[in-house]
Amino acid sequence: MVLNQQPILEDLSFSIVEPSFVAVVGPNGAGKTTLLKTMLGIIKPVEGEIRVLGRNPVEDPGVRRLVGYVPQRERIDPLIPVLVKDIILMGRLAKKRFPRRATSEDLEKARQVARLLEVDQFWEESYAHLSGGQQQRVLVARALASEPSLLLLDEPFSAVDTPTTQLLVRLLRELVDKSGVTIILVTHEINVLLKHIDRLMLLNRRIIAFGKPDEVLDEALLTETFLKRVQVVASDGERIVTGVSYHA
Amino acid sequence: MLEVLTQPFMIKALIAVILSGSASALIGVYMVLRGLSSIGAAIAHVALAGAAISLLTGLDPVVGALILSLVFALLSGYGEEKGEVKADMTIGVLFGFSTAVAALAISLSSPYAASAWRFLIGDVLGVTDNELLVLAVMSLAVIGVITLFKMEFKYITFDPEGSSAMGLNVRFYRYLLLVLTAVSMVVNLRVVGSILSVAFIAIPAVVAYQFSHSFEEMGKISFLTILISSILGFLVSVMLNLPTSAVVGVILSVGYLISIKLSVKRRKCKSIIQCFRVVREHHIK
Ligand SMILES: Nc1ncnc2c1ncn2[C@@H]1O[C@H](COP(=O)(O)OP(=O)(O)OP(=O)(O)O)[C@@H](O)[C@H]1O
Ligand SMILES: [Mg+2]
Repeated sequence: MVLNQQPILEDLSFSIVEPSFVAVVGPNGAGKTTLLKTMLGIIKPVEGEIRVLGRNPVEDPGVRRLVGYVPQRERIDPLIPVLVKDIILMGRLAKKRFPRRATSEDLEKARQVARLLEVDQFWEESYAHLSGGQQQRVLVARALASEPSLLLLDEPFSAVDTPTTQLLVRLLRELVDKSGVTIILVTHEINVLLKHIDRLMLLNRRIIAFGKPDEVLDEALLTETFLKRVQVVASDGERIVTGVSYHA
Repeated sequence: MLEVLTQPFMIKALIAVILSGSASALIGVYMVLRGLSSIGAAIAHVALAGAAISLLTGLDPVVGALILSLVFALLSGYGEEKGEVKADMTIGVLFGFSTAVAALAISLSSPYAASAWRFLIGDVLGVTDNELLVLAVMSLAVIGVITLFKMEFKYITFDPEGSSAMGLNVRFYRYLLLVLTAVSMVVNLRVVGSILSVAFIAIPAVVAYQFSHSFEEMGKISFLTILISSILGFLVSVMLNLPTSAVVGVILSVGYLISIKLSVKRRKCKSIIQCFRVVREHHIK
């Protein structure tokens, strides 16, 4: 993958069995966002081929209708006046054809995901008035509103408190198990996820490791990814990764 | 005095102000929120250059203004897309270039200098039947297209990245907005002139922003702001024999000051009525 003549991601090769819950970790600038955008077909690979849900996202952008995407929250200007319900409905309406009218089914489904993410009480509120964690939940609700088969999340835990993080993790796990959704989640915060994911990818301009969390959670591999000393500490039979700075 | 207002040319002039104002006020909502209202101002001056060159060469000013402003609107969109030039640089260059060209063309066409001046501050009372027809068609087209694609414009303004991830053709709608801005600025040229176009595109939207929690609200309030200011400004300008555009501009600016004072945003209350209650309670204390 090359942007501005500079390769951002090289030698990527991996496949994910559906449904599964995959976490991607790597330092700032590792190309995590780029990886997600490539899967969406927004960024085109210079070489090689990607198949998303069995389809090529560059040649067949229609596959985007089956994918839910939660962008990095910082990419959205919170001062733009939009109601929470408009944002959640957008998840369904943007994937419809012109004139994108909301049917009662659209409304019902949007309401349902709002309840699921506990943002129902903000339905008629302005997005700008919500806290960071509430805004994040609204963005996840928007992605889920279209009932995607594949869900891509870009750092959904940044500036989100622990209860919200736990709510999100539990909910995402349920989506994989009950609805068969495949999830690829980019994060700095691996510890909350370790017990809940099926696969872990260490990324820094290339795939350093990809596999079951137990196999990948190796100090040497983590240090290679983050280019600094990272330790894996065992406590109460749980493993905790330390030394990764969450915010750069 | 009042009889004057019922004269056909007065009614035509009022219709022209309201139509051009409404188109700008609606476009302004998206341009202001995307931080591009000064692109609108720059395009207005490109339109002025186009009109001035047309006067020099004998072309229809509307045609010349439309061609040149469309070309530059698309170019500025291309610059924005490539991300190699910042919007601010594009605006600076557009402003400098177009004003220079306009000044040159106007001074070269000295016999027509009077009509070129009309494009600087507008001349709404001089609008002919034919001109009104052209203006009406153009402004209604702008208003119609915005209404048709209001969802798409809302989505790409709020979250361009997410919109394209959902399969929207963000690029197409971004260029469409620029094209609509160019058309709206050409309409403004004849009615309010290039100098005050920026007031028409930015101020109603900024006033509306103070009171809005959604695009729909913002569009409605922006429209109401321009409607009230246009009618009021028109009446005052006729009575005092002043240029309409300037009076409307002053009224809009006063409206802006009032809006900051009353702003819902600052107090985070849900509606204007609720805000008044907050203010009253505040005073009682
Ligand atoms: N449009 C672009 N043109 C050129 N380079 C880009 C572009 N977008 C991203 N890059 C570069 O690609 C690299 C990877 O960016 P990316 O956004 O994928 O990183 P990331 O892993 O998501 O980082 P973060 O943790 O900061 O979100 C960065 O070095 C960035 O500067
Ligand atoms: Mg990123």
